[in-house]
Amino acid sequence: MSKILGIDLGTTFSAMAVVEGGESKIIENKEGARTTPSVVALSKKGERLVGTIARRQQVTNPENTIFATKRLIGRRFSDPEVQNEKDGLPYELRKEEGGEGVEIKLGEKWHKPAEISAMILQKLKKDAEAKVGEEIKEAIITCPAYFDDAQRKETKVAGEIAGFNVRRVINEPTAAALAYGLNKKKDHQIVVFDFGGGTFDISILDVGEDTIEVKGTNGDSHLGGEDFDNRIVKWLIEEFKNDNGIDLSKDPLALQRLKEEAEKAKKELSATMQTDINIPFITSDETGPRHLNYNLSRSKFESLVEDLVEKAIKLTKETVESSGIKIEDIEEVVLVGGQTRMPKIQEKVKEIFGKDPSKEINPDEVVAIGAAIQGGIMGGDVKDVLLLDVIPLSLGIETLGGKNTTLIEKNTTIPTQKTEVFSTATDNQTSVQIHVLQGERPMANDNKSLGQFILDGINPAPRGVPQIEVAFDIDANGILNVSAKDKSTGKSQSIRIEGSCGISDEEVKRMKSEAEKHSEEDKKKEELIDLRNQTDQVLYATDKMLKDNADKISADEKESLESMAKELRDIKEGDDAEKIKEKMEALSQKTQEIGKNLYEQSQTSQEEQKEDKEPQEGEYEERNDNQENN
Amino acid sequence: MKERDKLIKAYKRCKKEREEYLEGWKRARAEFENQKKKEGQRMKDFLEIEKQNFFLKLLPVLDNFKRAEKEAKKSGEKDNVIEGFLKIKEQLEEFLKKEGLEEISSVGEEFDPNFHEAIEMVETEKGESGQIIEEIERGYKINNIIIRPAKVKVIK
Repeated sequence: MSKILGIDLGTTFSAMAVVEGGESKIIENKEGARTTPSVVALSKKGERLVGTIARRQQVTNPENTIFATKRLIGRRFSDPEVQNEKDGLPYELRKEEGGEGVEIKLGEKWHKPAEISAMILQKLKKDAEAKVGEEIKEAIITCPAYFDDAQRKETKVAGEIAGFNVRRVINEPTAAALAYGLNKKKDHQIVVFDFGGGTFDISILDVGEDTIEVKGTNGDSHLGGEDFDNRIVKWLIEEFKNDNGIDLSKDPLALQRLKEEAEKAKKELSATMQTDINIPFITSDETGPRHLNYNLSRSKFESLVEDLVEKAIKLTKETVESSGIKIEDIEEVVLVGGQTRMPKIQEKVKEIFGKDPSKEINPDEVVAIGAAIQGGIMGGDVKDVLLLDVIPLSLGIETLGGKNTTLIEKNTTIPTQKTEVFSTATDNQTSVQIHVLQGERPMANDNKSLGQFILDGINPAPRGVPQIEVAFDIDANGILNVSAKDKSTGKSQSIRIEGSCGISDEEVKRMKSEAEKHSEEDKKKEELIDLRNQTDQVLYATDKMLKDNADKISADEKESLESMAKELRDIKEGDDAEKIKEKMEALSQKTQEIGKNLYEQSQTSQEEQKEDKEPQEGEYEERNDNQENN
Repeated sequence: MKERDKLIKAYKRCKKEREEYLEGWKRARAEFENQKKKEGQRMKDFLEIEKQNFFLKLLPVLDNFKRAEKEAKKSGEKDNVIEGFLKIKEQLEEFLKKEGLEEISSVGEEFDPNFHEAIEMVETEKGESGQIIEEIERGYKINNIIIRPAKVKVIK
């Protein structure tokens, strides 16, 4: 069955995705980029250019480079939005002949906005077909929630001109909700916070039985990430002017570099607390070249854009209020658009709604991903004949020191199997206990015990030598089979656990959240266990050294080693990690010292032996001869 | 006879089911194999893109070396330290060349958005309209893929 392309037809950028192997994936364009600039141009040679290439030649051909048609599509020429837009655009607009709509001049011809959008869609179609390797006839296209009937209709027409059978035009916030699978949560209220490159949109959705209804929507069509970049540029220009007395705002080449560096700095500040903006040779005067170098901290940046953030937050609050939905009834908040990567914005959103927003899916791609999912649902691609389950919680066994060692990670698709080799913890251990655990916590005791058994009859050997192969096998019904086998004797033992997936959703949720909550304290516990295990190793090595070299170690050294080992043994089971570590390191150092001495002793004795060796060999040969003679 | 019909019916149903399951199994195996191949290709593409991204992030350093070189030539002073720095620039250029990075030619050629990005239009007395008169930043390609177009000034 042919695929349905999900298309996010944006004001500045467009993206596309398709469902493949049950999963929605972004498709790169011919140039290898995951987004395509929504720009169309007619070059001086009469060639039609779309995307990055169109943007590159914009300066040379401004009157024939068309962008932001999304602001014009489906609108009447007399609309205030069009009239406001008109004067700022380098290309020409006019009232449609014999109609109310808008027409755009490209070359000698006048086009409807839908025709221009169609040129972008056509490129996407062609690039997607090349990537997927088959013809794509159908599409789902997204539009803002505030689009009226005329705007939606024209968007659909654009798709049809491009050669698509447009299955549906869906709302961008709805697509974002679909990407997060929120359509399955009935009676859910969702907020979609969309802060893109050029526009800001806020939508409140109500997920019903079969529908997702838009309860409220608002926004600012001229507020976006670019404004944030411009604030940094402005700040840099001012600082540079104060320090050097040179105004960079008049220098187009310097401005270009400032813009690039500002965007880079903004992105960096989402991950770091400060960043260096370093632009050598930005300009020069009679005294020679000048360099720009400033440090921008996250808090300084936040103060530069405070009003922009506040504007979006105010709009958000107002929209929620007017939708009639109470803030505490909102179950999910979804972030869309690159600017939502800014920590301050995430923090503010969390402050309003009292919960962490969903942001796992790339905010630049989430709308296209969701559109493809809608396509998948309509095309029946998401309908699986064979439903494969996943295990909700990790499965593992208890190992040395009461630790939980995971064999099968949570979310693994079943049926599956996994084998790992373990060993004994003490010398001459003849049996091992296999304790099967379910959960994410690092300590065995904090997880659910699913069962246990003992494998005995292991041949006595030093610790770490026996090889015990533990195998986990879960069939398609979630029945877990755990077996342990001693590789040297071939002896094995196993247990069958039914319903290892049979934990209620609530319980899974609880266990997962507990694991998160306790992660800090668990880490400490885990470290303590590791430390104890290390201590055991050191004590074991000490005992071994004392035993193996009983005649070579002086009585003094022996006594000090024994007393240090005793001290360590006494505190080992306590909780004072610092002290255990200190004593363990002291003992470890001491054994190393003695070990080094022993080694040097043996080296010298070997060397002495070596010196004696040759004559000995001579003797040996002689004796050999003698023997033969005998 | 009734018993026999029942058995035949059951047999037919079993046979049909068996075919369905086998078919489903084969499809699942095939899908898995195809997915593996696709993932392999994706990984290859991904590594290629990562390499390109790495160069893209490194190029501004070279750009600044070039700016420094230009300024040093302007001042015309001979200085061993500057000479040394310019040698480092050459070293970097040599490294990038060995890694497969090729320069995109620009000045004197006709502007082509496939390779060039126009920053400014300028009026001149000589030269044809649409010709590149100055290069602001060198463009680069690798295996004929444009990593970065050349940023240029074009004659009006």
